[in-house]
Amino acid sequence: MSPEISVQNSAADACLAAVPEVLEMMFFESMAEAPEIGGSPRLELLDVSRVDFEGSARGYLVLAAPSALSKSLTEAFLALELRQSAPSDVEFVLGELANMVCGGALGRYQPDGSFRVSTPATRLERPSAELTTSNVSWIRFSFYDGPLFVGFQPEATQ
Amino acid sequence: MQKDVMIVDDSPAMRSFIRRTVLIGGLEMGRCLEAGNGLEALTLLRNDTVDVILTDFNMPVMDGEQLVRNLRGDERLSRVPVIVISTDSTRNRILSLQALGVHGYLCKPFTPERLAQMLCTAVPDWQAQGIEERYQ
Repeated sequence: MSPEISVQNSAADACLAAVPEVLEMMFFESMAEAPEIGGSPRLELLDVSRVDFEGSARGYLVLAAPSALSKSLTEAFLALELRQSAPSDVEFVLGELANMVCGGALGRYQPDGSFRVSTPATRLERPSAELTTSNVSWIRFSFYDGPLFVGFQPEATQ
Repeated sequence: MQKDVMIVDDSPAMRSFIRRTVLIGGLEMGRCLEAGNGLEALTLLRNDTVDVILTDFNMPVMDGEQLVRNLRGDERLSRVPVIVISTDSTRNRILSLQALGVHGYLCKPFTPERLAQMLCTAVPDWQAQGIEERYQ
């Protein structure tokens, strides 16, 4: 196995373990189906959040979700009534979700590493170009309110 | 027995989540002071104190590590237990903060039970109530 494939596999494994843990423990959401590797979500229709990291490895984690899922996650996280989330709440919570998933994935990807993680950048429905890159290896996690697409891309190891 | 808590996190959403999680964990809270970074926390504690501080690590202006260093260097506040709550689950980070004397390091995600257990260890006379006791 080439080193590149090995890195990609361990990044996917880290992501596959981190996402359900964060969603179940912090958002009380269980997956409706097993996750699928691959796919190309239509990002222009989705809410997108991204965190960049550097240190022992550098790269980024980006996640994308339809607004129905973003809102239901926000309401679960903040204990709001149904359909009571404001756009600013959704931005906060989607960013926090990206931050937690990134932390969980990095801790699994390089447990002995040392990282600095940026403040999450979140855009609702019309993500700008800097949040979305064309070469993301997506993993699709299915929930009752829609799919959550996650790309965890450690780009280079120092 | 109620205890006064300070929650330090730059995200108001996360502060709200932590406050709620303490209560879900069965712990009675007295006052709950909130700060958006380490400097705001130190300003609030200038003429006040709490029984335990829950702090994020990555924050603007003053991060969790600088906050802990300042607290440990302050005679009046040096014994206040500090629990760091962070998404960073790498061993180096946890060990460096434990070396500074934090009472606990809680990685996100976490359950209310885990947070309550850590708080009860940090504040020995604080006991979590069971669900039966809470709803009697």
